[in-house]
Amino acid sequence: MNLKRVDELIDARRDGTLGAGAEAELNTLIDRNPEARRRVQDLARLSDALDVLEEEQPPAMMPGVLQRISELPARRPAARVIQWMPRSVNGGGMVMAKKVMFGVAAVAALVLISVAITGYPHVNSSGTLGAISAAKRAQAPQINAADVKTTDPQVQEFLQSDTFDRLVKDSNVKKMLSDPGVRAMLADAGIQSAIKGRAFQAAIADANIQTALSSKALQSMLADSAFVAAFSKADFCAALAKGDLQSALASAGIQSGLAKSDLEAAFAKDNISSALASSALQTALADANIQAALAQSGFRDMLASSNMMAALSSSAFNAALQSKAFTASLSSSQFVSAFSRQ
Amino acid sequence: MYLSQDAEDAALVRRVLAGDMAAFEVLVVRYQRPLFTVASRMLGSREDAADATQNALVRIFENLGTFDPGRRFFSWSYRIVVNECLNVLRARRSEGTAGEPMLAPIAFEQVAAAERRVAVQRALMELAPELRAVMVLRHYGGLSYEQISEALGGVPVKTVKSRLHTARQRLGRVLLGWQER
Repeated sequence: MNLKRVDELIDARRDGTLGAGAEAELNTLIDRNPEARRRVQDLARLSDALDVLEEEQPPAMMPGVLQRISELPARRPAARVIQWMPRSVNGGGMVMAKKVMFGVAAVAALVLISVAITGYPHVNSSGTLGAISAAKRAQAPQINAADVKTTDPQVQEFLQSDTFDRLVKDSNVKKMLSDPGVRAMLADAGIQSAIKGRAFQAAIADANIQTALSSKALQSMLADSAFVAAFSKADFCAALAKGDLQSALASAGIQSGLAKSDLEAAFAKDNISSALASSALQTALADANIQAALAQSGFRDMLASSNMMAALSSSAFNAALQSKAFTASLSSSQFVSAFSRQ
Repeated sequence: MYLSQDAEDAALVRRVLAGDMAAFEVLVVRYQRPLFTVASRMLGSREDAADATQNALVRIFENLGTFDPGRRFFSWSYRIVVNECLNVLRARRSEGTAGEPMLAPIAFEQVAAAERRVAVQRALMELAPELRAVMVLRHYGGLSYEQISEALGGVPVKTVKSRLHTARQRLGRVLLGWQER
């Protein structure tokens, strides 16, 4: 007797979504199968038991919520988008949006790939943090939670989660693991060091990061050949390994940004991954000024803003991504200067 | 003209994005109670649930520009409040403040209502957070499998069904003495 099927049918009936065929199936089960009848009764008893906890009246919440909103840097997300977008078309704001996009994408990529391949944070028998060797990764790119030992309970919880399980079994991720450039990148000392940082550990434990990691759109982006090519280049690798980026990773802004549904949609766009492969972008990402900007609170606040996320998903932004001149502008000194003032 | 709740929510979101704070207050009034109920069941504490709900409402406002009107506002809101709760639970774990002892099966239906309320909340707290979230969203939030999937950031529906079944089995054993099957 498949009790899960009975549960499913009962739930569908309760939701009003039980079709005629399923209704007949349920009725037949109840008529002919004592175990099914008992299950229906058990579910009703459990539901009654749970109903002893009624919906609760919350304490007065509006004043506190409105007060906190009034203290936000921008009270009207939409209004800020409207003011911001025209400047974007002129270059400055749009370039900023693109950089933010890539910054978040890079952080997400670093988290995902590092977890998937190195099983971060690996703790060896002497109790010190280390990473699975490049040779071992090359030979056996598939890992599971049992391969990873850590003393951090939050990370351990994540390693045992469905998200992690899906991640390491995902066909796109497996395909990526077989790319020699990516494997070489992960062997880089800077990347290895970044993976061991405390900021990285904190980020892994964050629910928003974990939600982002389970996004199919993000995983598809990481499997894109253009993105893989970009990720295996030295400049991009160096940018990811910088300490400032690691610091930014721990910020609430980035973690919040990763949870945005529109950002996931943006990840899925072909032109994003193509743009990531451009040498101009990689040069810009590796620039010290950009790295410094990543560590600034203003930048993080911007990442967290709903205006930024709305801007990133706008048609104007996506149109700009198609422009070669726009991509080329990323590596200009004016851009770097503007970026580092944020 | 009649508007569905989803259409009404989408219209309210548009008004908030245009700068109408009164529209946001309508959304808060509409959803604070169900969101608080979910937070309360997830966290087992009115105080923590109030904090988590307030945080979630502020984040809803901050992120409203990213809300996809093609989706249900309440599923999106539940996702934010559940994430807030999961972060609270993780913080508790790292501080070592979580973990009531496992309950022995009790004669649930024979004790007073107040004791039953305590027993149910404790049984919920014994569930792993991912099981508790599914159970709470289903039973106390009234969400369908698909809506739960959406609220949990895209967890497969098959996983939702499996977690719900597991959670029910565990609650049934603890509260009603169900036998292992």
